[in-house]
Amino acid sequence: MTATATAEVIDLYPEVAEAPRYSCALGGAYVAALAAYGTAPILHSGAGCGIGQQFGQNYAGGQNAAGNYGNTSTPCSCLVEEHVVFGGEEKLRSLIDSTLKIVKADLYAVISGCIPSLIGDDVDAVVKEFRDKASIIHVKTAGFLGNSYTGYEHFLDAVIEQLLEPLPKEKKLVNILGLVPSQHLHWKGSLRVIKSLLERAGVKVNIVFSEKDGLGALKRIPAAELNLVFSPWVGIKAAEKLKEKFDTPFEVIPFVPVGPRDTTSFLYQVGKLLNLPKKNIDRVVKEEEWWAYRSAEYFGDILVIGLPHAFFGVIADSGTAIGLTRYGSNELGWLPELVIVSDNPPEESRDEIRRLLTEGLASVVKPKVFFETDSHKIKLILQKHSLQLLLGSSLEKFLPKGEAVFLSVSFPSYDRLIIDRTYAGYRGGVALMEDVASQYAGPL
Amino acid sequence: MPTINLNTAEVPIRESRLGSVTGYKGSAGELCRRSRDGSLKERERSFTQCATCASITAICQVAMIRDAAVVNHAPLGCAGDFGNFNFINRAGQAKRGWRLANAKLLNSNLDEQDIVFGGGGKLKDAVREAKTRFAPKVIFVTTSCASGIIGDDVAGICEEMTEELGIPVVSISCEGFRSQIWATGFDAAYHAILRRVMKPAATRRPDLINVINFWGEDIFTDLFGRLGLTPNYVVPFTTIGQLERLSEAAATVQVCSTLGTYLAAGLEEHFGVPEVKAPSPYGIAGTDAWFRELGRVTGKEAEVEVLIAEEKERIAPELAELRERLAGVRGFVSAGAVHGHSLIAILRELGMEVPGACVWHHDKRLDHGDPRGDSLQHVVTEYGEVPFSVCNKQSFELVNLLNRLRPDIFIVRHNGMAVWGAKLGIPTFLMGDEHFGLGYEGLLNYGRKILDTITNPAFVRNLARHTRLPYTEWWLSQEPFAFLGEGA
Ligand code: SF4
Repeated sequence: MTATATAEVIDLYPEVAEAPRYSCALGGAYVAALAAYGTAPILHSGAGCGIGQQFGQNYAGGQNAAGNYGNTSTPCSCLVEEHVVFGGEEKLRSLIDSTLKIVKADLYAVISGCIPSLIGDDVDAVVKEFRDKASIIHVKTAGFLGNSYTGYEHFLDAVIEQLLEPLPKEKKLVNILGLVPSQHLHWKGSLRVIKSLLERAGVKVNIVFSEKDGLGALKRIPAAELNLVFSPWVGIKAAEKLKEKFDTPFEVIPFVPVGPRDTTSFLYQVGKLLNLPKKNIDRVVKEEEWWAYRSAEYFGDILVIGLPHAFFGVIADSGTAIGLTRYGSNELGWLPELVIVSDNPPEESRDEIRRLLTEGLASVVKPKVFFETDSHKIKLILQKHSLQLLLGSSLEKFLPKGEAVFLSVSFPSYDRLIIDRTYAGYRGGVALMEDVASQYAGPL
Repeated sequence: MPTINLNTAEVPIRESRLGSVTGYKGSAGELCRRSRDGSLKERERSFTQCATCASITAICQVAMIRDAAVVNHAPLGCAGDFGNFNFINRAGQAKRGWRLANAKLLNSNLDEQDIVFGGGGKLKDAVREAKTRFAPKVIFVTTSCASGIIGDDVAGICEEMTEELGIPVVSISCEGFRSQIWATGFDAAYHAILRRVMKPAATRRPDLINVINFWGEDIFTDLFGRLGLTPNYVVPFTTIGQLERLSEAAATVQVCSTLGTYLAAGLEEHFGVPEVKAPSPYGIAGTDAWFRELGRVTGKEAEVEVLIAEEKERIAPELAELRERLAGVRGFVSAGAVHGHSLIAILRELGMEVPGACVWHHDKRLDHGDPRGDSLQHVVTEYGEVPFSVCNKQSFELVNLLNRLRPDIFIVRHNGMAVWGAKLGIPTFLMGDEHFGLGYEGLLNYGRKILDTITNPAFVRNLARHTRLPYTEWWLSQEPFAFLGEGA
């Protein structure tokens, strides 16, 4: 491990952030609300908070638009000086009241930012007044209380506390948690891929975010037999709470499986957890593996001609980083030189993440692992390594990095439109090869 | 009468300085009249949607200065959009053939601890770090809602750090809650530049013209070159050295006085650089007036007349053709204040109808106070009345209005607003380059673009068929400005 390099770059001013890789807690709660279709967020904040997220979450998350309830259509109390002095509760009350008349939605999520928290508005009390008029929750997320990942957890927490009721368990129903909208760049595609693979194996899957009926999907959470958390750390709190309140067990799948090998073992793992007949899984695995490896023949030439045994680096949120590092090492024969984990996981999960990034790799080369979110320090780390391929965020696109081929795979990425694209699952591995190879095969 | 006071650390907000308002419905002419006679009052809404804030607009002006750094003293979310500034910065660098590098922006990352105990220490660390990382000539420190409310003495800390680091560390007071008019953020950034960066002129450069703009295409090198003048684009993509010497210019022009009113007036009042006071250079009448005034101020009257004659002759055949094809096409316009007025001029010049326009705010006057610069009055005088409103980017009002008027085309600035035209099935375009419609060629540019846009509405029709609007039927049947309260 490169203890020296780590010490040199990390110790300066640890908290200052250059080109951050996530936004505030309000940002995370906001995109979560937008992702639960049919939910109208109501921001209790300054007028600019929501627009900042438009650029900082939606565009940064693969140039996405915000959809019907986002951006300039999001109701917002637009707090100004007089509210800072006299309080914003009255403004919020009339905002919610008018929102219910003007904005048609299934669920309203009041998300409070820095100002109300600093001036001490009792937002809970105001929101309560509307409980009998509509489905409404309050997500308390002063921006300074955390980042986008925390905001996602705050959203789930508010849903669990204020919306969910016990339901009889539905057999073979699972919820998918931990893939944070917009922060996991390929969240929409990854969720859909996971859903469809599991469904083919006979599982009912509630992906919650980007289900057609967002409120229905949220309310159905307690009916699941099992919760799957697709991250080594995000979403675990929610899963624990769901276990406590609704007695739902959960399993942490610490990364998004990329390519046939990991996807197959993931399917068998779920099969075991849900007692699925093995033949169900066998069937899916057989069909998909055939096509995945058949596809490998198609990209075999360009891989061995263009990027054989490439020394590669990954800069991404922990779950994405693990999945890509494993696929590159175990299936494509690349050599993992370094991994920079950019989602700022809590101290207590870092050892496990480090382990997942360095164990179980086919290559003799093991990656150096860094935890860093600041772009400048990431640049310093990169300068000390020579790579042939870098999978990162678009912030790294124009760093001097020798001859390295570059593809953006993580947040923020302003250089790609990402809607359905994903590297998850069997076809995800092929998609990754297509995208990587297109960076050096084209545009000549 | 002095209007620009450089002795205070904070810029007076537009509401108090320019009598600006965020809500109005009526006609353009009436708005001009009521702005002059003092009867125009702000009208509050009981329903509001996300807009923008002064922090974003202040940073957009200083973030792209090549050898300056910006420290945003705020929780991380306020820096969420730094990636986007990075994107704009790169686009500008690429266009100029410069090496592509990340923007020099830091965020001090205020957390719960700092909120309780104060964020001053962290700010100092961030400023020191900015110096080490970027070796900038100047560090700008922008404030935020949180830093303002917890009462960090940002101006004081900046003075201290100036001493410690030996380079100007300049505070920009742009707390989002201070003003409903986010253009106040432009003023805050310019205030800092006028106060702390600019120097009195040692020499004068009679050919140099300051052009206050965002990041549009370079069209002035050619146009001004024909007059023997050289454009000096400010503020994005300049250097501190260039900003220090803004005072040497022969004049200041603006492509949009909503953006540059404060800087232009400050340059004239405190550094003796005359401001060209004319309507914006969009549409033939406006462009004529703008160039003539520039010619008068710089002593290039004769050259300007030649330019005007040549340009008009050059565009005449295609303009005639465009007018014929666009006659009677109905275009709705939405943009920041003066740019909106400019777009109306373009459409009317092209022979189109303007069934309505809606701008984000309205300044009763500009900082220079000269009625010749009143671009809305210019539009009314030249092209007649237009139904006009001020909607502060409130898309519920806009959607309602568009839904009623059903124009043939919707022309809009600001990303968040454009999609609503499309979702209603109305051919829509958003022009990010503010120079696209400028001058004589700009008329042709717009004419062609409008024709292209209305030629194939397949996408917007499909989108409209398959999206449901987020608004209730009830709302869509109400009068568009039903939530706009009576003036105080
Ligand atoms: S950090 Fe606070 S003020 Fe800034 S965008 Fe987030 S909630 Fe708004």
